[in-house]
Amino acid sequence: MAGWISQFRRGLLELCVLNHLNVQEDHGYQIVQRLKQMDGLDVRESTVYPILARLKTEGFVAVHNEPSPGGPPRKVFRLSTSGKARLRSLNAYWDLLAEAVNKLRSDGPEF
Amino acid sequence: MNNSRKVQRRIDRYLANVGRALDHLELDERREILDGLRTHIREELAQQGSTPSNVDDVRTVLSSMDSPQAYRAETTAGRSPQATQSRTLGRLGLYFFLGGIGLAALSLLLGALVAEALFRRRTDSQRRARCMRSWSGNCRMA
Repeated sequence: MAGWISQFRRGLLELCVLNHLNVQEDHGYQIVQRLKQMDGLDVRESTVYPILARLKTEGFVAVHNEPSPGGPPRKVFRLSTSGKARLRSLNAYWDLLAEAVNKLRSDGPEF
Repeated sequence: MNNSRKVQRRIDRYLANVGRALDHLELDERREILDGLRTHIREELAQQGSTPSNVDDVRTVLSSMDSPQAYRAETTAGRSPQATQSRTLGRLGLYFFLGGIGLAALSLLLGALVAEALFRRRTDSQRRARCMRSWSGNCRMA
């Protein structure tokens, strides 16, 4: 059960990161803080930073530097064109899954 | 050693340990993660209102962060062992290829040097023989 939840959460987290970046471009620390506020996601640095790095490697997010008060520049992430296309297809798949699971649940008895 | 150097050493040691745990990733991806973590640590210290030279605050921040093994687990879980293995094999193949090119270049260089030495020796002996045949005592060798 724990392994299944961990795999499911990992995939879900990528969807959440992309959806967050669709609302606003942001830097890594703020993305971690925003997602940490969401119950059930169990967000850690070790989950978000590898996802951001992979999304950048795959070209789904672009990065630019922003001046930071009292420190070196911060990297700001934003969705690329291919990232937006990926988000559209992931959201559509999520809607499909959620609808299918909800339908199955509604057909069963109440717990 | 002053405080700020101690602080920097602690941060660097943590990042180096995470970097080693991520040695199965491509360099760019690994660097991106480590850059993110470095900024994350700085932001956490700033949130605590800590001056950069406060060792205790750095210790608190680092102990609240994930272990290097957690990063390895997160970055290997979604990838097949074959992908990691083939990347390692690909890297080994590249090293062998470059090593082969280096050996071939070295062999060519050595061959050229030996051929030149043999040619020079042969030319010298031919010239010496011609000189002896000519019966002229003032034959000058190069």
